[in-house]
Amino acid sequence: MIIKYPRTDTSSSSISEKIGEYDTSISSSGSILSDPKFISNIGKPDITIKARQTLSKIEDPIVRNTANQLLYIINLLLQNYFADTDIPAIKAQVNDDGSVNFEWPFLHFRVGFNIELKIGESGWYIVSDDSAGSIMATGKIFNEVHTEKIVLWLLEFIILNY
Amino acid sequence: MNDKPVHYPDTFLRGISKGDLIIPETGGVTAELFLPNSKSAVAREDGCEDISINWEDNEDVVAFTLLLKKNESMYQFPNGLVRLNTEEIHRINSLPTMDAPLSYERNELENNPYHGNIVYKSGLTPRIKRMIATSLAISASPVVTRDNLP
Repeated sequence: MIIKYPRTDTSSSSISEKIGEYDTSISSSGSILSDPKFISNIGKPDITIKARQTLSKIEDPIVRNTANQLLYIINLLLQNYFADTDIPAIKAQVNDDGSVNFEWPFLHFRVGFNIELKIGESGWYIVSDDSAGSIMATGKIFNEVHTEKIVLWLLEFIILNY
Repeated sequence: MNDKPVHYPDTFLRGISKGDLIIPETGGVTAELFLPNSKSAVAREDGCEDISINWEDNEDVVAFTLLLKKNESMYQFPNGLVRLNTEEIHRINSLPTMDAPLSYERNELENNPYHGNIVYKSGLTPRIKRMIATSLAISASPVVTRDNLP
């Protein structure tokens, strides 16, 4: 499965145009819940719903659209690769500096994404305690490495270990 | 000039001011508790950023920290505190992918002889700072509150 996403060109217009390819625009109310693309095609609960509800709190349109797009990728991968697996809802936090953080805060490990005002500084991270291997890793997203492959790898880790 | 080596105990405490810094599902704390405030970088001559801690020099420091007052009617840390091992700082600094991003110091205050700082090196990206803060958060003890005091 190939998912289009913004690459190295992070200019406002470029991202807006490419995000438009997903039709993930946010209505004036901030709600995208009525978007049929986000309705599960197998009747499973969408674990990104609560996180998406926070998107309207994000002031910067590029950050908001990029966050929206990331949640779309997460949801799409879950629907397509892990349809028989339940994982907890992803949590969202809009920070004072306008950035947003998405995270699964499990007891022994945490997997998350940060979307920064400078999109090129956005990234993913995985951190675990000693009982889960003392992992501490991070990398960028929305760059030359296919974001969906990074997300897929992280989802696999979650499903195998939570 | 005082060349006496500074002693650091094996553990330190981080107070929790806001309730939303606690994760209800796990009882753990969020990374935000350990993310430095960028305003601290302005205040520091070295350009680093820091978070305040109390060094656990003795068994009374937990109660001392929990009973610190913000003003006449409010506790400074109404939501409790967590304990961390000083070794965790060394562990993060020793990781091959890290360039010793953390240090620590004592910084006594007039009303708090245990006060100190965990110092984030200047120039760290938000992504790296969040990963470090998450690592500190996940290694923190369960939350201790005033209800736990004897």
